[in-house]
Amino acid sequence: MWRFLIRDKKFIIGLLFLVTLVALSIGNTIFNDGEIRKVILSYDEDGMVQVPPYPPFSDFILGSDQNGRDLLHVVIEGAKWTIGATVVIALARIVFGLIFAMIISFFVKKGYDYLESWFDSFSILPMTMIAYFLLANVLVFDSGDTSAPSFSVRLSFEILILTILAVPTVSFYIANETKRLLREEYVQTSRMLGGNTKHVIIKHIIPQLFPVLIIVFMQQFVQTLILLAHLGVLKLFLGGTVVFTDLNGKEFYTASHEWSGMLGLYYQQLMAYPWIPFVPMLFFALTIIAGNFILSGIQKAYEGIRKPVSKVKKKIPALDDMPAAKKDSFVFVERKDSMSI
Amino acid sequence: MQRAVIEGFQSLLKLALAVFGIICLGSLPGLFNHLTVNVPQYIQTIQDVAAKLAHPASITYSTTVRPLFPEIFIRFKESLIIFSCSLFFSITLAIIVVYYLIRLSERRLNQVRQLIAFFESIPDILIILGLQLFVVWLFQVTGVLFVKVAGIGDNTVRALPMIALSIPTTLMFIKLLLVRFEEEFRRDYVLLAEAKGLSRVAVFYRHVFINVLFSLFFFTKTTIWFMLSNLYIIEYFFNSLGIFLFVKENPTSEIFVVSLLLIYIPVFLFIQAFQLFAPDALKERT
Repeated sequence: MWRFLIRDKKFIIGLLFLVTLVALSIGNTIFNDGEIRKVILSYDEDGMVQVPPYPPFSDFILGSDQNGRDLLHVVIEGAKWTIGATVVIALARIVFGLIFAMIISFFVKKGYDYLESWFDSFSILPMTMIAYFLLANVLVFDSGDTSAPSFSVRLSFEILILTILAVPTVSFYIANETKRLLREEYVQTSRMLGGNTKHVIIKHIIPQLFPVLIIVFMQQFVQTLILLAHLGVLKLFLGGTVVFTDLNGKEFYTASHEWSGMLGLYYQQLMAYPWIPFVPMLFFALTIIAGNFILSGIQKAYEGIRKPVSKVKKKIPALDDMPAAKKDSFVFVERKDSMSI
Repeated sequence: MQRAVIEGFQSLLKLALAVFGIICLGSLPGLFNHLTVNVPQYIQTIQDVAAKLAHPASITYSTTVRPLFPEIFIRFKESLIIFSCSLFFSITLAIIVVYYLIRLSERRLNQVRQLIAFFESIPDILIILGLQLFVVWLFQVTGVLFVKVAGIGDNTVRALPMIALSIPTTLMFIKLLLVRFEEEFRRDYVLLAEAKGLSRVAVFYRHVFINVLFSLFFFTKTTIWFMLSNLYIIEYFFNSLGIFLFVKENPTSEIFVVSLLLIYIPVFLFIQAFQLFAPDALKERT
């Protein structure tokens, strides 16, 4: 698989982008204590005082927010939370999905259709809606609320819910794929020769499912990112939303610098300073595009493995190459008779 | 006849199971009591919700205690209008675009495919934000507000949500149709028809086009899921008073369940009807 992927430019670009972003983000925490470049006042060429937010391409490449924080820096600091959580959720969905898929495809025989219809609503209803409904009561709390659970508890609860919501869909997808594999002749032969369920799963099902699982993983990665962006706009931030109530009304803050929180926080400033909400949006988009690049690279490589690499074209002899018929090649044995017929 | 009765019975059983599944889903907040799992409370919640559903007229919403029916139907209608208009518009546009696309050379078509894949990667929120900014910018430049940006009070806003929903949906349909057309053109009957001397245009209209359109029904679920996911966030952004915004503002279990049933049951009936009436030949192929 790798020898196909290495040659795929898009795949390399996508992977490099994600790895660089996460590496920079972790590096910022280790070497810079998670500090973010902040300029409260600055002077332009005429010596005039400038106040934040600074527009993009001035002192900061992507501009700054109203507190003078460098947006690019904030985005990089938040990348590890968002991308990390997304990877964890997507991976957990695959692992649990695989386990349930094995259980239902091997041990549930009669009730399969009915089990599927019990979870059927998951395949139509929007996940953002269900996730918001389940998380809204848990993740939002007031700033003075001491009874609120800690950050890590909230984060793990959110990851758990976002994982569980997709497990039915993923399970049934993998289960259907497994059922198809179980009908294959080599699996039935293996069974006939005495292979038990464990043997069939490990030797035949998992190796065949592996490429499918990678593709499903990348799909879930992209889907989870979109889900997090949606929840961010709905003011449900990764790891919880802190609400400050003052004279101006309610203000929402995120517990970390992750992107969904940035998006939700900055969205109100869309009309005044459009570049501020666009920065986290842009990075969400870039990450999704990178994910899709990787996905298409893997899909292509998977197809490449199935087909033989070197296609030898069948050489069809052209008419000119054929030996021309000589005069003596055909001899009429009895010419007169053949004419009369 | 007997077979039809059995199939009908099975469909009913499936519907009942799916409804029960939705009730279980809607009662889930009862399971998590301040981040701890509480199973007896969950079962109690399921019973409560089921009891309330048995007397739909008694369900109320908001703190001012208003009856849920018929208010929810008005909200549902609003969502339905935006949904069906976008669906119709997207399919029409996608068919027109694909009709011209399939005449391109293979190399060009590949470029188009990559372009579509790229645009599909753009999150819907970016499209929505871009649209809102674009309309405001148009207003600043020309002084004419072509479409309303957001709904206020009883004012409904429809044009912009429809456009926002149509853009990703059209892209999805174009991609889907391109793949389907290619598969269809590789089938043997096309070769046979061409061998018999029918022109490509005739084959396209008489056979390929109709077959592809019918095959779209197999993607009903994916399409609806995709569009509803987008619609949820679109209603929030444009403050369009549809059913999703209603659920978001009134997050109680029974309202959640009723709304989900309102959305789910028509789709279920549609899929069952398709299974029942679609010609068998069409079903076997995919």
